[in-house]
Amino acid sequence: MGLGAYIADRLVPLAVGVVALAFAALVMVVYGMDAAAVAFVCGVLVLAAAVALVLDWLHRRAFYQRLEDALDALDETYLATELTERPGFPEGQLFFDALDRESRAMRDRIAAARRRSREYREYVETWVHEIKTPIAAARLVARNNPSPATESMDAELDQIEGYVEQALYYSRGTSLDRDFQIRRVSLAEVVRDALRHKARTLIGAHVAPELGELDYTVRADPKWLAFVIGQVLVNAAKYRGEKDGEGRVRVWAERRETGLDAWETVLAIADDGVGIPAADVGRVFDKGFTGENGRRFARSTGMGLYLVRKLCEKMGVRAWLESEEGAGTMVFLAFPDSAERA
Amino acid sequence: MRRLLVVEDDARLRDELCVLLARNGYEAEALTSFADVAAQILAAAPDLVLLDLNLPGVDGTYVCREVRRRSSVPIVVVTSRDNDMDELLTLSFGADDFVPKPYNDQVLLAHVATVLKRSYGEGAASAEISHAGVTLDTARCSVSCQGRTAELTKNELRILALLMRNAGAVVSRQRIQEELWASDEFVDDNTLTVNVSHLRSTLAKIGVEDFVRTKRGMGYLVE
Repeated sequence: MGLGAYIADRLVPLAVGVVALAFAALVMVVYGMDAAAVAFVCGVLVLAAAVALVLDWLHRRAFYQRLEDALDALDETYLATELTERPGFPEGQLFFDALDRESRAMRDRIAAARRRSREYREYVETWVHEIKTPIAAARLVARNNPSPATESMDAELDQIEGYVEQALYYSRGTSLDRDFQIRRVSLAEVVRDALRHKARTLIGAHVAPELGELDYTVRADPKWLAFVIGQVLVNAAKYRGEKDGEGRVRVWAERRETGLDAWETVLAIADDGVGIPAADVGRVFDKGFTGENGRRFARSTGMGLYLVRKLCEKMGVRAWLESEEGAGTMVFLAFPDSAERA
Repeated sequence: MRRLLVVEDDARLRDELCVLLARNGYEAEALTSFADVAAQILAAAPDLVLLDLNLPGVDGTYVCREVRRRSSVPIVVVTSRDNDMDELLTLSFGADDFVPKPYNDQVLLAHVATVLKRSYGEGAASAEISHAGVTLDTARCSVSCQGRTAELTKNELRILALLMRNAGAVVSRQRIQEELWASDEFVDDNTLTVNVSHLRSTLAKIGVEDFVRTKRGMGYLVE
């Protein structure tokens, strides 16, 4: 609050004071007082009023300034009253108390919402762990009694498992907590892990991998990364198209310089499937986006690539894709060197 | 034959696990009560323990630690809790390996075989599989018939072992591919065909003809 604004706010009492002072001066002149004496009295009064005003202004300004600084310093501005002292003047106190009550109510709400979302997430985690036992049992029943019927049941179980896994990673990827561990992982190992995990889906769709140079270590959470790669591999199987013969998915990595002494490792996963229409390419990472391929080729939930980007963002990995309709899709994951992020 | 002890509270999963293990050349036993699990494991003295972490009334990591204090029996932890912390925790409590549920059966078997090999030396996990006069030695990677022996490649061995274990039933090409993928051999359809024809010519060298039969559109069969 500037001095000008403060004075403007007190224009009426000031005007009354000036009028009263002018009237008093007039009376004194009429009664024959010496002009110098009248000027002296008026001067003292004006000076006293000015000093009082400035002192009061400084006092108030200190409070508003502290409040404003607190608001600027905080990401969560509703915590501002926690960082500001209650002021010494009544209007300020009224204002401060109202603000404090409001932000307290807000903080309670936020805490409750956080708790609810955490509880829900914990429930999802528990549920996912529980459901895995019956899935494992059903899978073994199918395996121990091989027949065309159990083999197709097995394929359905794969889908169930895939959806369950997505639910788990959705709840992990969208949570406010940071519950993953970034460490050095071997790309070759994670890629093989994901391939083993999605083996049946890929084999069933007649898609085989071609592994290129993968001898790199990157910084990531190995489980999350295996899930991310798995989603991309499943897409390669899903959108393989109606071609005869074997589909291919090439996986390789390379190092490249992104700036002065800044390097990154890029993992590329390229399929030779149906590709993505140019109009859809920009939106495939959006949540729930299914696009033309989702309608034409496979039942799509629009979650796979959304989770890919979400989890990658959390791990500090850049994900993007390039696609040519009819020729295939290439998904890239770029892992910046730790030095760059430190 | 190696004796495996299954510690799993879900009855159906337990039964199916035992069937799976028995079919793959192991002797499988299971605990059915979960009072003082550690003592029961020690009393049973198996060659390997498959341990579920979520047991009624007792924490699997505790069981793991208790068993490890008095015995060096290999322990493979099988669990649906798949976060890193659990994995590190169980391994630090003395488990030898960690397989997250719901596992692929081939992956589980591969883990078991690896741990057995590590604990009891090469050849420990081997079972000789015999069928119709043909004997497969999984440790030496060789096949023999009437005194004649031939070496097999790893892939040929895996394919033949799978077919012989399922003798009498048609094994689909997909199933064989899955078996190979489970041990990081990501072969495609053509490679599988090549592997099988090599396997046939290897068998022919020791005088075994028509052992692996093709069922068109279905897969392969060892009768």
